[in-house]
Amino acid sequence: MDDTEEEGPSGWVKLISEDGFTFILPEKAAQTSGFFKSTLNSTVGFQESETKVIRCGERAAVLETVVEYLVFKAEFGNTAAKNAIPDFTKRIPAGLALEILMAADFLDC
Amino acid sequence: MSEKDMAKAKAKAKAEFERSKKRRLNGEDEDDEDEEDEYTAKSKGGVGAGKASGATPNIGDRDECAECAKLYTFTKYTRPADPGPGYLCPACTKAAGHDLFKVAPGPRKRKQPEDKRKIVFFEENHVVPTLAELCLETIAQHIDDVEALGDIGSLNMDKIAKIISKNRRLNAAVAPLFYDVANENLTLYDCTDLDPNGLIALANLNPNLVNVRLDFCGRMEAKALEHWGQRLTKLRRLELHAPFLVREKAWVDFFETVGDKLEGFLITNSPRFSQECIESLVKNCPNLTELRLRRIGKLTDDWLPLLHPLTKLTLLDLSDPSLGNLPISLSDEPIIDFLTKIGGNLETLDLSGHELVTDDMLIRGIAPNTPKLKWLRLVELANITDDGVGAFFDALVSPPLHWIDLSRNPELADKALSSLLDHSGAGLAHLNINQFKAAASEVLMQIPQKATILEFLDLGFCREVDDFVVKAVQDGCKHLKELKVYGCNRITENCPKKVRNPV
Repeated sequence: MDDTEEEGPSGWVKLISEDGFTFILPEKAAQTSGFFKSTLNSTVGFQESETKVIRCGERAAVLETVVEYLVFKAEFGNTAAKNAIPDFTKRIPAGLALEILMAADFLDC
Repeated sequence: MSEKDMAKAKAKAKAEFERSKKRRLNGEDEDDEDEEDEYTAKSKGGVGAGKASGATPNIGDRDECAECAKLYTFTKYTRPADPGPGYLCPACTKAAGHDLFKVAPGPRKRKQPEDKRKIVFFEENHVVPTLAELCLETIAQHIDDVEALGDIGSLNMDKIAKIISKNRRLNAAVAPLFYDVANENLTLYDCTDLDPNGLIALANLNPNLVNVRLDFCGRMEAKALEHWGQRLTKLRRLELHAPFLVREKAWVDFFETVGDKLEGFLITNSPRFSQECIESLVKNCPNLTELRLRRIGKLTDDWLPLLHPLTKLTLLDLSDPSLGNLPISLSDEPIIDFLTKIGGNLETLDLSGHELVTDDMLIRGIAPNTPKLKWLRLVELANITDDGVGAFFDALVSPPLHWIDLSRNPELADKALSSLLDHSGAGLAHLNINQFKAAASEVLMQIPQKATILEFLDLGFCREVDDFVVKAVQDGCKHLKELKVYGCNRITENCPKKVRNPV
């Protein structure tokens, strides 16, 4: 994703799940979550905003869908045409829906 | 092409030829055109609008090129000469480097008056639904097959109920997620989307409920309540927020059906709840330990003597009697009589918002009659005074209170606060003295000395609160989780912040 380096926050963020898996995503995508946005805000001065590494309380299976969604939202969030946006519900495993719901509520995304 | 068409085309060509011949003979001019096409006031949006001065030819007309003076047929692709006036033939258009087939921009579309009248109040910016919404969709799809939703037992379903309510998505489709035949407790935080049938289904699917709390159950109706009374045979505690559609008769029938099993009856915002309902409640449900009639709207002094038989009460909430603008208030003597009768077991008491209540009620009503009190809320009592509240805490027979809210009583200050701390400081976990505006800094400083186990403290609009008070509170109250200082204008940016102890 070359364009991330030109506009807005550049670079990448590393998320570490509760069970130790790491996910790397563009900072621009991570910013679409209210929680990550304030965590990465440099004026507040959390350590995370320096290191760009965030430890999450979710397990990897849940965090994976969340990360997928964040990238999805960064990609289609500004699309005007509604029918051009693919249906993300197909990517949510039913068995994890409740856990993802709790994670989504916490991460504000 | 048929013969007829051929003939037509020939005739047309001939006419045009004659016309151009005539034009050439007359030394040509655009005036000529004006003559044969008198209607020159074309709409501004016409082909090549306003680009060339003078008349604009109609599509299909023969016109002379402004560049090379050759005749050509005017079409919608014809471009104006630059500089004008006149138009270019296709050859010259091409020579000028324009695309031959580019259509001139059409007239700007005007908004239909109908569209103009439509006012857009807000623009929908978030085309992409939130992940929480998407998850709820998925859950609703699989609601009939709960096993597909994975191991629910390990999750905190109450938290999920809160999240779903927060998104205002709790409806008849999702609600079964929280239902279970063996379920004894059920709390739903937003029942706006549960219609009477949904509420009936709730009783059918949870026949063993003991304790029910439904918030925003505005669609609760007589027939649902009747069904509950019959179906929920084990029901002991019912807490409803805003069941305003339920009629008098339905309440009476309900109390008759549940009878002495009912131990907790807590309702808020129910203006149809009348004296007749109270009579039935007291008669049929003698085992009541919890009673909340908050924002009922019909509460009067006459109700209190009816409640005297309820001596087992541990929770009493008669707060905010006014519903809407009409001021409603109980007065001192009936409350004192009532508390003298039933105060013995009271642990939780809320008498907020009664305008007519004075110090007398506190000192003679609450203080001597409530030996077990733990939790007290007296918000917005317009007629109580600093001295009176001070005397009340001095006289209070109960052990130190655990939870106190005296907010929105701007008359209260030093005496009330210091007596409060002397009486309850040692046991106090929650203290709200919002709007004790005149409380002096020295008295505020006693809070951290006397109330050391505080977890919640609201000092909003206490004018004397400054950085030093905040620091003292932080140092003194080691268990503090929340401190509110909204409207304390003496606090500066140098105010110390609590740093979480390194783990």
